Amino acid sequence: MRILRFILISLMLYAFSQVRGQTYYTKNGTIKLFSETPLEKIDPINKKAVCVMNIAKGTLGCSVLIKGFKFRNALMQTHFNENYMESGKHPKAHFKAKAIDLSQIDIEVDGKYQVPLNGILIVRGIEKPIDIEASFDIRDGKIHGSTSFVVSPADFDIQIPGIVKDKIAKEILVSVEAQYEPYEK
Amino acid sequence: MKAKILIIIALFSLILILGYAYLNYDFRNNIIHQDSDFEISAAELVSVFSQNEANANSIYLGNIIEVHGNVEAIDTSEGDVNIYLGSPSEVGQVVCQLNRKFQPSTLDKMVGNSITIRGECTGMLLDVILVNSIIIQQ
Repeated sequence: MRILRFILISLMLYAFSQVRGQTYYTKNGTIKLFSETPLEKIDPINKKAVCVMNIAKGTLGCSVLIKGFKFRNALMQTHFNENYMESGKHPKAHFKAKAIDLSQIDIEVDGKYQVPLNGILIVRGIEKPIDIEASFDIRDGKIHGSTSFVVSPADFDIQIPGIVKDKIAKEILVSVEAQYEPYEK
Repeated sequence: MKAKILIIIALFSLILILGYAYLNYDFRNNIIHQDSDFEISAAELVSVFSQNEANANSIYLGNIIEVHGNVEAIDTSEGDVNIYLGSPSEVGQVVCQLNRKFQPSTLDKMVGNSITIRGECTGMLLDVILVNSIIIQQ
């Protein structure tokens, strides 16, 4: 009986270490927004996104604090936070993807992997399904993930007043870069 | 008559320059001259956010906080200087992203020392984050 218990516990510890060992994260993910019209170019950046991926479980999530987006124009930053994103009420935006096939990623083999991510984007508390394609570049056991996709402010109930309508694009390009590290805690 | 036109042009130009400066000047860079809304230790700030994030957001989000604690680590890998202030809690730390105009040259000597930093609180992910930060005392 003792031997059986020992084998069971050993198996569980082994399985846990395998799952945990395939968790990668970053606290310094970069998210850029890009809007361009003939009247105005807007390109805020946030370098403190948290992204976590688990290769074994096939999960990936990114979160970002809205107030952390830095604009070239201070007044634009204020309008972004107070009028459009209501960052006091909705301080974070998230992307979550489950059941994605990350099995093709071999951390031991350098190379570039394209992975479709079918997930949910949560902005201002509004959830929208989104299909994007991410690229994972493996170099020397490190994972560099990147993706870009387009979102529409209208999808997240963001009302753009008529006076600035021609200055903000109807579709905003979102770019994400993340240098993942193994989670070892 | 000519003088009047010149004065009008000068005034018009001045208004344009002031308007442009108002739209583009980053007033938050003046954080060095702003009073702090709150003074708190890094450990306490992390504790407040960990216990009730919504309540902590209602108090600290977007406000200028002066936070003191020990420097656990300094990260310069992404082009910015991030100072990690430790807390006894395992939940998280306070990460202060320094304002690029106020970055000190002697970063290595700070690790392990006590420090006071003022910055704007943007909330908590894994850590509580202060952006546009400046070092007040080290």
